[in-house]
Amino acid sequence: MPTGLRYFFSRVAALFRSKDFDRDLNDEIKTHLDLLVQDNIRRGMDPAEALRTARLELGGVTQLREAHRDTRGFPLIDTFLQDLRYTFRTLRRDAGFTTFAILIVGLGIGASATVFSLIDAMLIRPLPFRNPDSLVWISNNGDQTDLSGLTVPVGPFTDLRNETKAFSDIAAYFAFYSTGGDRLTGNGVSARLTSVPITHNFFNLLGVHPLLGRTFTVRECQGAEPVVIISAALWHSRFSSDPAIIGRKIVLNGNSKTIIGVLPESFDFASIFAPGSSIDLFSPFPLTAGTNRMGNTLMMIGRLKPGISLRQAQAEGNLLAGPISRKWNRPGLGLAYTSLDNHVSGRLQSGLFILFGAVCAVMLIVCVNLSNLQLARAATRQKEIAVRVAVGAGRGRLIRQMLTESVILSCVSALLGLGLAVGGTHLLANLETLNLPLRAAVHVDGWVLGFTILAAVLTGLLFGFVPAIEAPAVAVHDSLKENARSTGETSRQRWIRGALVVSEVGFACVLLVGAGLLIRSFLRVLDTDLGFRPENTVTLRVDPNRQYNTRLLRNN
Amino acid sequence: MAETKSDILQGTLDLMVLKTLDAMGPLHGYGIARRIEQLSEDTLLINQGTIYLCLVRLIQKGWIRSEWGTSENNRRARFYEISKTGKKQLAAEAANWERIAGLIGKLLRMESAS
Repeated sequence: MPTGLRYFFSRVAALFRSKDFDRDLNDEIKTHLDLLVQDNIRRGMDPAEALRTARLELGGVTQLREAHRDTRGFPLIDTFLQDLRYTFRTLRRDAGFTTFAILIVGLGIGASATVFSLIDAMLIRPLPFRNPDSLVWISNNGDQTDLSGLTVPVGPFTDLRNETKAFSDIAAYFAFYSTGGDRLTGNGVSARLTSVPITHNFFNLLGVHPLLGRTFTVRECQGAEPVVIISAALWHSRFSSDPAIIGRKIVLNGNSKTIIGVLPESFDFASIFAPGSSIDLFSPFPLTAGTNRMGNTLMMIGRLKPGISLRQAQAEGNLLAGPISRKWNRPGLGLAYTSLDNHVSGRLQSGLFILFGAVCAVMLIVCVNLSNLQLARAATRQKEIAVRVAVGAGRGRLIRQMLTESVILSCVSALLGLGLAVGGTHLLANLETLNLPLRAAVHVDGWVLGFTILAAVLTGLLFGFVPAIEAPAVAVHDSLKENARSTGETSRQRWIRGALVVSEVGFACVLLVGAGLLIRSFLRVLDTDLGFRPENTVTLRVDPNRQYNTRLLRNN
Repeated sequence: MAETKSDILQGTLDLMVLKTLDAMGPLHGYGIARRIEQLSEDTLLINQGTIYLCLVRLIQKGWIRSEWGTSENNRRARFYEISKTGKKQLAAEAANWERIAGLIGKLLRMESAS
């Protein structure tokens, strides 16, 4: 082993074997002193003189011990370990305070870590596709903003796809699929499924490879071939994960369809394109003159060629939009490009940040609260601190000790908070009614873990800061006096505690006003006149038989 | 006792201890201190305790090893011995020392211009 490395490890090891080292050194010093005295006597000194000279020659034993400790280990780590041991002792002694502090900091950290994991899933982590940065959401920026105003007809889609130089490919899905519009019958209870018609290149463009089987071919997407690709969830729930599912026929709305592929678990169409719903299968969307006549139907996604920026693509789109709209006689047609990433989570960004801000305010209140408590504790610990100052603890050392205490406290709380965050994210991820993109992807990962650690350390430093710099200011002289049981607060301490309380009330007011405004707008939404009374009503769907083939018959 | 105290560098003491152990074989802390003192003819004045800081550093670097034994006065004593890497280190340090000493010597012998 190289000397440097060996030296390092020996020093680390020495930190944990302090007692052995001290005992050995003591023995050596004793022997040394003994031999020295003997030699001195041999030189003709009397025993008392010999001992005195020997002690002088050896030097201060206490200093030697300290220097030995610093030489063999790492002084900083050594004192840190000391602080750690001391902290645990203090916290155990003050069990009531410790429990309370861990609980409130734990709750605060738990809440902020949960909110952060939302931010993580939506804004930090990339979309679960191949090179998600080059995916672009292409919408029609016509005069309307409803779904039909955002989509384009088949003709313009094929033209754009053929003429673009900025995109390596453009795919689309039929945006007007009906939720629960497909009835699956045969083998067991019939079920309502949702299927999305897509162009053949949809999965290839996203970089999603089927778990089993294949994706659609060009031919299948020209006429409506009776083929479907099913989601992993459907495969598990309805077909008991049958590995021989490919080629099996199922009956959808009375028509026989062949399963040609199963999608991987990781692909969740709904979580990205239609939050709050679930999509069970995909069918080919025929790009024909017939479907073109249906008007605005397609939602487009493009993949940029390498090296092409969104702005360059948009410039091309602006050029292409004119001729295409004239050719297909669609005067309102325009092309608006947004990165898919931005489209999915962009509109949530401000909401998430507001939520995060609220959580931060809660954390600040927690810190101020604890600061106050620590200050109050410091008053009862004056004697202990005074003793430490009296035996030679410097101001820096005391501050470090106090900060260690609060950081340890908040780190223990972070463990509790992490547990809460794991539970919270689990709850969020499984909340079916929550209309949030990427909801299922919300979980505690490395980022959240890092955030929690950072939050814990910052919280600890924050709520420990004021008490720490205040602690050494205690007058040693007064505190050590026997009759000075509680010296009471100085005016300075009163001022600090007053300031803390004021800031706490301030933060609470900000939160209260914010929450009040939110609730008020929510009440407004509830007050909207819907034109009917929604109390005690349910919606239900009836699927009449084929013989009711006109709207008139169905409605009666 | 000498009138002037020489401040000696940490590395220098390390080198002296290594050389002493190389020349004398296994010694305890007191033996090393005494030997260095004798050689320096009392021109070098250090707290003898400093030796132990040097010894623990050298052990951690793996240049010397130690073994517990009994001293002349029947006390538990720790005997130090130079290791193989220690010998290599000593050779390197000694060469280095000679080079620097030679250079300093030359510099000091320079005639002043005026």
